[in-house]
Amino acid sequence: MDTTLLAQLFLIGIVSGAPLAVLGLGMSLILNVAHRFHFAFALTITLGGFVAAILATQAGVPAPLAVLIAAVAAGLVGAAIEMAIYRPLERRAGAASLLPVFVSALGLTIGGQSLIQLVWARDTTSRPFTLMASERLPMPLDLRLTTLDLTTLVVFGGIAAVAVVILRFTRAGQVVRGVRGNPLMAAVVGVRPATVYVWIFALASAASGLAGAFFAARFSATPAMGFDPMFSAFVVAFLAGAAAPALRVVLIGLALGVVQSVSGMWIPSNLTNIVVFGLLFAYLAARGLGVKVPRRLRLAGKA
Amino acid sequence: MESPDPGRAPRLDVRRLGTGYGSKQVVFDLSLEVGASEIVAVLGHNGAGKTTAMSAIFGLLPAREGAVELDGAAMTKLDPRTRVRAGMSFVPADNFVFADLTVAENLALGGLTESRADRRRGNLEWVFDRWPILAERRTQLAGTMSGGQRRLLSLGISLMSSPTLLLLDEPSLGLAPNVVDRLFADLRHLADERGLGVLIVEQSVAKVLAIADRAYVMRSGRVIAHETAGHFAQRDSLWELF
Amino acid sequence: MEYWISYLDQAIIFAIFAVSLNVLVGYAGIFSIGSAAFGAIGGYVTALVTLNLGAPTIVALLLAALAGGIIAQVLSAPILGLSPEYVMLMTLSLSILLVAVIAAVPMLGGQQGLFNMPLPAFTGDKLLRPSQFLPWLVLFLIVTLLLVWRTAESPLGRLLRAARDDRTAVRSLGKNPLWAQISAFGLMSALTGLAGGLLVLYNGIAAPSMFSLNQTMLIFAMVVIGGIGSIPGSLAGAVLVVGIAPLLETVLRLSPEDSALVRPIVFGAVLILVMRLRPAGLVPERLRVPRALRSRVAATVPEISEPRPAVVDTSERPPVVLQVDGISKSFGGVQAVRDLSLQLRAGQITALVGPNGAGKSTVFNLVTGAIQPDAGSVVLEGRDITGWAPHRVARAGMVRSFQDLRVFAGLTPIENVMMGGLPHPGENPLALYAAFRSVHRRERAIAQDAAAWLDFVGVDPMLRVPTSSLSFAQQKQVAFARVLGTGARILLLDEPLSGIEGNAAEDMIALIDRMRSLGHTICIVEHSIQAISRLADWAYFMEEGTVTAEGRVADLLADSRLKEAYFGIA
Repeated sequence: MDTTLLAQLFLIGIVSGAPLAVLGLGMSLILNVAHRFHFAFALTITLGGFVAAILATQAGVPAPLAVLIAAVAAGLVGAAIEMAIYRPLERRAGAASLLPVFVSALGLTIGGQSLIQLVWARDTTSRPFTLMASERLPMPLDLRLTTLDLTTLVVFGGIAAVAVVILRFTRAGQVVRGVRGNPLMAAVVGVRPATVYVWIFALASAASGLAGAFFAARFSATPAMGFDPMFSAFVVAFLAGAAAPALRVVLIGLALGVVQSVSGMWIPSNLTNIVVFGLLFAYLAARGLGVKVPRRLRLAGKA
Repeated sequence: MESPDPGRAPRLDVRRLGTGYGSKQVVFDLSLEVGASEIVAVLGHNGAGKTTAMSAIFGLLPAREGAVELDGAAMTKLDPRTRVRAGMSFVPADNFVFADLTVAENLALGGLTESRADRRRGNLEWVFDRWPILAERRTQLAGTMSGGQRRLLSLGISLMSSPTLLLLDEPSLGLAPNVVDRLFADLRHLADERGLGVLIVEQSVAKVLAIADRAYVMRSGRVIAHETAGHFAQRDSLWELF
Repeated sequence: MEYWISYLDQAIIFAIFAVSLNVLVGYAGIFSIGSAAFGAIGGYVTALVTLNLGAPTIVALLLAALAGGIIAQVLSAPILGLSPEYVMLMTLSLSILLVAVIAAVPMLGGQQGLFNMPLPAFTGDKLLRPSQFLPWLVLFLIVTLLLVWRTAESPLGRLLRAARDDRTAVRSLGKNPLWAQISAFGLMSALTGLAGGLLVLYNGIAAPSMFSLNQTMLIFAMVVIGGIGSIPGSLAGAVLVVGIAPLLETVLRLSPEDSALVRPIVFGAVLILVMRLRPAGLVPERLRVPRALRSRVAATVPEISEPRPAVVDTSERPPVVLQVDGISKSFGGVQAVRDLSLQLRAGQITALVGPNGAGKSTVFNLVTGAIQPDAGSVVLEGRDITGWAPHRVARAGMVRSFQDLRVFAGLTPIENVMMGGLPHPGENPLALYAAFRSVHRRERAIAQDAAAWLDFVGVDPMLRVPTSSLSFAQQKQVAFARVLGTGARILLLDEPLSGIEGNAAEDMIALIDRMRSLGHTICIVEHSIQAISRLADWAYFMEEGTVTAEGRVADLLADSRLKEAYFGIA
């Protein structure tokens, strides 16, 4: 066992796991608090990546500002999706809104992806974008860690930490946890569920746009870039369970990043992203066969 | 059997309310009133529509017909949050606390719509003073407390928003008799000392008539009787109302 | 001309994809998003078999269908155990997983795929031009439509739609939809595999990009736009979705690359709009009333001469048909039912009364097998049925109605009642394709029977509306006709009067009386003491999970202990 390689893969895993932790937290809240099967999460990730790339490379906007604008744009689009698409469907169909919500999200994601490609990636399917000069930092064991890696870790680790603190200690966090655990009592004390849902969508989508921008900085922006992170977010949310405290979700996200990366010791590296789908499939198959798995999520109206 | 007159202008005025679920209408032509410092009971067999009526009065269910007014202000089309800010408070029959939040967090959420910090503090002090057990267990998760303690907490939550009208749905369900007695004594105190109007749906007829001023009886979605508590106690058979 | 025919060819292939998806999602309510997965399986099997084994085209296609069908059967077990949102996610992840694995395996051609396949041929002539493919594709489409029509527009299809609307209700009527669902899933996946094989043969290549999420979305668009639950709709949808590409290219003069991008944008937007504004799609689901009813014969319901009065003389009590002894059930530490015993006597109406939370509905669940008792026994006409599954209990002659009705919302009233009919060969997947005549005869008989029961309860059998659009009282009547249609002699009615008042309540009381007059044994859970006084021959009073008093209603009302329990008055 090559321990240096293992350590390197572990480090890469933590760095890639940090955005997954934040995405997983966002998806967990969307699934458990707003009860939406948000298959259009991929769209806001991709949008973030392209907005950042285009602004930085074609409009001459300084890279950090481009990233910020990308996050804001993604947040606005996410909130709009909830207000204009999901909420009217639920109002009309209630518990039978699962299929309409999914189908609409499917149309939104695929259609949106093609639109992005048509507008921004017609001739070249990938848009690279430089967030910062990527220099290697001095590290023990000669491990490789660049400034981009460190920035990713700090930014997303910071967001995750702030989110955990807000959910645990602030009034807003209590409201969110209250709506999640007992929507009836939330309405009784005067919470407007619709408002809470929009805020969750806005913040989760902004974070997803930010993640997209960082993915674009690392790998370049491509039209299909949002799918793998979105499925990772689903996996994290499912594995954590319905009433999971934010910290657990974050740790599972980090763990997923590590597992994906470390699996590269045994699987060819271009297949490691398949690990996510394999995990999801195995989890759901086990659940369907009646094997005990973490407490179920309830989607589509059955609050 | 005269219909008793509440006297001064009622706090809560419900006129010809109709409501239901989907294609099923459950409440028909319901009219009732609750005045300040009054405890009014709503009795009737299960399935008579009492809980449904309460949900519609509070705004959790839309009213298909009729009107709901609080202190003269029309509430019929408004959402629960607006009604809470106007002075209504609702305590549901089950699922009445946030089980995975602490006692302190539960009470904090109860005061969500109370914008004045001094009033929130005052309400919290009153709640802790009246029910010291809640103060002792303020950091305990609500779901781990006994049924009676959770009921007290639910009453505490409802008081945090500085209400003028309390709506209670079967508060005695699942509680030991002596706990019910204490709870009902608290309600009487709230009505007398703080001037709250209280509308209470109850199964335990004898106990609630002991503290109530008036009572309505519902059957199959309609009000079939309305008397003072004293008159009820004088009846020789209650079966014909159920 | 070949240009347009090539699009027609593609439309036909995608019509097969769309029609099979529609049956799964629209009819059976199995939200399997597996078009990409099963298409890829069929497509690659076809390619491999043709390239490596030199198999004849027809064999390659049959193997493609078979592969799809077999893998679907293997996946049935987890899929049928999951709720819809999980089924969606599982089949979706399977689709992506499968295509990603295929793309990564060099033996399967990687991203480029498998090509250099010999030209397909069915009768010797090699197929090259689109117009040569056309007649064969039409043939495959016709076979598909015949199979799909037979599956969907049949007693089996009705069973699938009922299970989609309410699985528990189906089982409570004595039917188990499991085999129907498994066979529908298998057959539709086989057809999807076939379509995948046809796609590969038509294009002469099997590549991962042919079975993408993009493709899945377009197939959904065909189903949704055409109308969920409508087969002709899916055909129209396929033509529309495929046809827009040549339209964009010829009318708007877009390049093929651009039109490939514009098409998903257009249909993504259309999907959102359709879901919002016209969820039923272009062709809404048909509302079905059996043609057999057009020439109705006299009712098979026995004539009711004179209603038998409620039994007043307790010295001569009718025989016991249901004996419940000492059943108990606890849920996670809470004892819901404790050592409960009761008896139902032939031809009588027995009432279960008691305060909220006393456990009355739980008793119904325990006795009909919806929940397993921890202890005790249930004996029905001498047979021990303790622990039997709900559909077996129903077949044994005891059926319940539900407080929340559980009518099949999307089915017409007559279909609802026909679901209650006795075992039907048409609901068995094997018999459906083999025994046409007996299926048809049975269907006629059941339809007549169902119409008679609807007349009995007072609902027009020819109503061509979804049952959910009727008033609550009418839906309740349909629910009663449904339990009567099972032919069961023992009926458990859960809160028959809840949600109705005034004249409708009077009608309901009269109806229950008429049901007793037919000789049925009835047990009702009711809260209205007034109703119980008028109907019940005998009553059991339940408190905190057990029976604390029993007797004639008048006697119970005079019991002061009961008064205290109900009202808290000493």
